[in-house]
Amino acid sequence: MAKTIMTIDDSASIRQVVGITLKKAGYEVLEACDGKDALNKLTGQKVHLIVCDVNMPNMDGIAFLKTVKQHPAYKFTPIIMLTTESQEAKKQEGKAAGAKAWVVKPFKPEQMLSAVEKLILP
Amino acid sequence: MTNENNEISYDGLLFIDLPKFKRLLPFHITLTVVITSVMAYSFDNYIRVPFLACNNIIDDLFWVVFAAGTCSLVIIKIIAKPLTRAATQENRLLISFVEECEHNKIKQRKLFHYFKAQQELDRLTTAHLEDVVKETDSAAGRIIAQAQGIDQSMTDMINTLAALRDQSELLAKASHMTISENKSTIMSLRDYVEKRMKELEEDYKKAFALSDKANSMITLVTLIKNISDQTNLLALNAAIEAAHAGERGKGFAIVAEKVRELSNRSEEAASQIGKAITDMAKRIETQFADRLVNRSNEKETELLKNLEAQLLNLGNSYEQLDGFKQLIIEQVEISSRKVATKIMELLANIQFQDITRQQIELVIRCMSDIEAYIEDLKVCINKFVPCEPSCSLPDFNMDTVLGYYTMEKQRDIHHEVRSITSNKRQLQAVGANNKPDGGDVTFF
Repeated sequence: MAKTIMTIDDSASIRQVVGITLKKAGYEVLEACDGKDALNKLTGQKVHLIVCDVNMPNMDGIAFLKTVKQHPAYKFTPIIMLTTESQEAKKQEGKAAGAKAWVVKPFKPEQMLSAVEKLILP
Repeated sequence: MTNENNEISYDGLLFIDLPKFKRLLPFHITLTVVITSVMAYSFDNYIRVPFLACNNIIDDLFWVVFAAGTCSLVIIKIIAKPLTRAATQENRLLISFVEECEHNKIKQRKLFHYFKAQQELDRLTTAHLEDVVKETDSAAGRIIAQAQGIDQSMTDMINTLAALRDQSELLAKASHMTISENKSTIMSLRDYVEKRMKELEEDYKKAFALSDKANSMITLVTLIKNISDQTNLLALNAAIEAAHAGERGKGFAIVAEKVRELSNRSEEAASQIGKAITDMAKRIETQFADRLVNRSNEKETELLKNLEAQLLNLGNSYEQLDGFKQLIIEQVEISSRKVATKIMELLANIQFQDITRQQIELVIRCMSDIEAYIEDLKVCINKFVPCEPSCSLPDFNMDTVLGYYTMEKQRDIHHEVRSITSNKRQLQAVGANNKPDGGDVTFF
């Protein structure tokens, strides 16, 4: 059975690009347009990995990260931050909130897949 | 101090009456002198003279009044001079102030117009930029959809090629089996032909041996015929001798006759046997004629060899064709995979839309801030009271924008532009010097 990955980004084009890249590699993809939308869609089902943007309306990536880590079902779900932000302070903020990797846009599909394969839950 | 139409009113201001006062001052002085003179004259002629004899005090009073009047006039003159000068200066200042006020009113009007136009322009630019974001978003969506379609087609083609390759491999295996079977059939056929040729040769030899035996039997038949002829001759001689013997030789003549008949019948039988043997030998010779047999065998062998060569050529051609087909399929598969990779890279490049969107949204946010600042500035300028250092409207802080940035490149541009403000050329080159900071992966 295919593993499930959730991708959260306010940009529809990024959601599509990430979705196509992951689907081609054989993963099932769930999409959300911001942190709040993602929390509404995470209803306890098994999600093997989350790819999340940082700067988003309603609820940004760091706030989402802090919130989702409180959820018992997603406490150990690895989260990759995908953002245009490359400032070291921001990365450290993400790390402190529980992110496992920080990918700077624009990413290459093979980089994304390599990070996903390295971190995805068995 | 503004009226309903936002125009400045000067009513009630004291210094407004000063020019009028200055204009009337000489007239006042002249009038004072004239009245004083008339009063002095009237007093001298109509009061001082009738009462001169009565009282000398009046005469003295006249002169006192006259002196006082003269002194007053002199004092007034001395005071009026700087007053006049001050009034002239004030008048000049007032005129310049009024002119400045008029200019300021024009400037204010122009500033208002500029602010209004700037705000409208900001709103227009924001609307246009939002439209650009929407357009790029929808264009990116379309490009993604089309690229996805191409990718799907490529994936289908790759799958079809894989299926074709599998099918082709199966066919190739089947063809190889058929070719092997053909080869073994040809080998069997060749063995069979060789065996048949040996058998034919054996048959031919047997037939010849039979023919030889038949021919040797003809010699025996000839021998029987000769014996029969000899017997017939003996019977004839016996008959002649029996005739010579007369009555006593009659029995012997009958025996000789029977022997002659038997001899004739033996000859007839020998002739028939000889004929039958000759016919059989002829038939054998006809059927197994050397030349015919040899020619037939050679032709069969040649035909079989040709067939074998053709089948082998056919097999080789098929193998070559199969090899070419495999090569074509492999090449098409490699090319298809390359195209699929390129399509994925193309899709990844669509991320520029998100980066552009964020940059445009930053510009929109800055413009929104400037618009709000202009709105406050309009209120501030509209106030007649002069600005003080403790003005409630703070100056626009460019560093506020720093907090809006979402990528390192924007911060670099900000710092470079702020450090270069005067050199336009360098400013234009700033963007070109920045390298993209994407594709970096950090694991925690």
